[in-house]
Amino acid sequence: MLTEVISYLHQIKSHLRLDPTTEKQIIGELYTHFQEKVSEQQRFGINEKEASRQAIKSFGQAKTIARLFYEAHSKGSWMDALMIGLPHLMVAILFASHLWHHYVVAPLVFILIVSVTLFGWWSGKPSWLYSWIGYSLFPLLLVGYISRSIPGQVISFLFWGEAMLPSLWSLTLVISSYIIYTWIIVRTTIRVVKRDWILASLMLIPLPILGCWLYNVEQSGNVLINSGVVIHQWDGIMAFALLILGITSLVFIRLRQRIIKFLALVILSSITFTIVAHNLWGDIGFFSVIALAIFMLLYLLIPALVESRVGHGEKGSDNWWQDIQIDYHSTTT
Amino acid sequence: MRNIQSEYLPDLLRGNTDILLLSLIDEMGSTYGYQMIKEIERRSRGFLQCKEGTIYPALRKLENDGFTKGEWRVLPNGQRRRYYQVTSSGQRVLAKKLAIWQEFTAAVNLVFKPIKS
Repeated sequence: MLTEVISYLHQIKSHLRLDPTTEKQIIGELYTHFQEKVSEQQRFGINEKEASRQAIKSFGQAKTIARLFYEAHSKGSWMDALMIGLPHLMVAILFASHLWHHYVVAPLVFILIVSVTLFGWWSGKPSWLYSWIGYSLFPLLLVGYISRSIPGQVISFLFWGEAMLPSLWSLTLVISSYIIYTWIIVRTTIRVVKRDWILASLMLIPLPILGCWLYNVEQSGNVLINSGVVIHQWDGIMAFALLILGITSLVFIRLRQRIIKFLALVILSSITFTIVAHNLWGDIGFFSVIALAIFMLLYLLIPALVESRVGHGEKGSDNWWQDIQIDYHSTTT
Repeated sequence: MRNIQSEYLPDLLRGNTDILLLSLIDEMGSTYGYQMIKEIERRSRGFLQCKEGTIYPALRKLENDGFTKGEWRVLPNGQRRRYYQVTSSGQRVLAKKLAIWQEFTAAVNLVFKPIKS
């Protein structure tokens, strides 16, 4: 097959943003189309180069074709919609029932979420998986945030000589866990971004809202020790906010067009963040609402920025062209 | 002057690609993308020349909607091809859409050339 066709198929693939198996099947189907088309043209006496050029021209623009394929595959089933909304619903129920603080129920729910995430990750990364990953990362942030006092003590000691140095073993434990957590979060985000940055945005939407809540709870007392009424005062609003995020995910997976998906994420998550901020921080003015919306827009665009640096395509997909040739090439054309 | 045919025809085709493909697959029993492209061109005597690349996403959409079923077959020369067949749900949708299409074209023709009472 001529380099023009290979390059054209590569262009389509780079814009597909679907799961690797589907991408491979699509490119395989198009590869067989070009094989047949070029062979047929050659039988009419056209040379291979000209036949390839004509075949590409009659196929259409690579970006448009990739967009049509994306729209054909991007709409999830109702089962996918249920699955993508489920982690939001589970955590919303934890808040609504004030059980997020329960030392058995809360860890059980997070173990379940992490288990489903790992199952989905190792079984082809279905489209519903990404909201589960977001909640799986939250306990890492929670532990990191709670244990911040130990590196804080070290910084105070080194710069101002005020605090006492923590024990070496606790410092080693905290620093090594920070390194491991950061590695897991960055690595997971990059892997998701390489599949499709918009899925990474979907994955990350609960984190700023949960982060704001955690900050407020910590201001009112230690999240692990204090179980009084004070730290449960935002449970209702958090349950409501996570329910909206669940609906956002559901809307996201049922839409076909990419731009509409992203707009749905930005608009609904901005509304949710504003509602939470209003309840957590008191009355916020018009400009604060605008600032929150801009923050959410920029936050959700970070994965797009990361994609521009790391590129598209999952690990092992560099050899896609050899795989296609092995799987789909004829022996006599 | 702009070419009206080059603007109007793609619009007409875009809205009816799925019914064209479903009808072809249903009639041919089992067929593949390139064969359908050639068959549309042959049957329409070259009038319907859609961008070939738009056929494959349309086939995928029909499959994801459950109206067709695709399967890979290996040819004697080792090449693999994806063949499509209409499902029972696809047949029901096709029957409904064909009936609507026939009523629609009849109504449009009546508007263009009304029956003199």
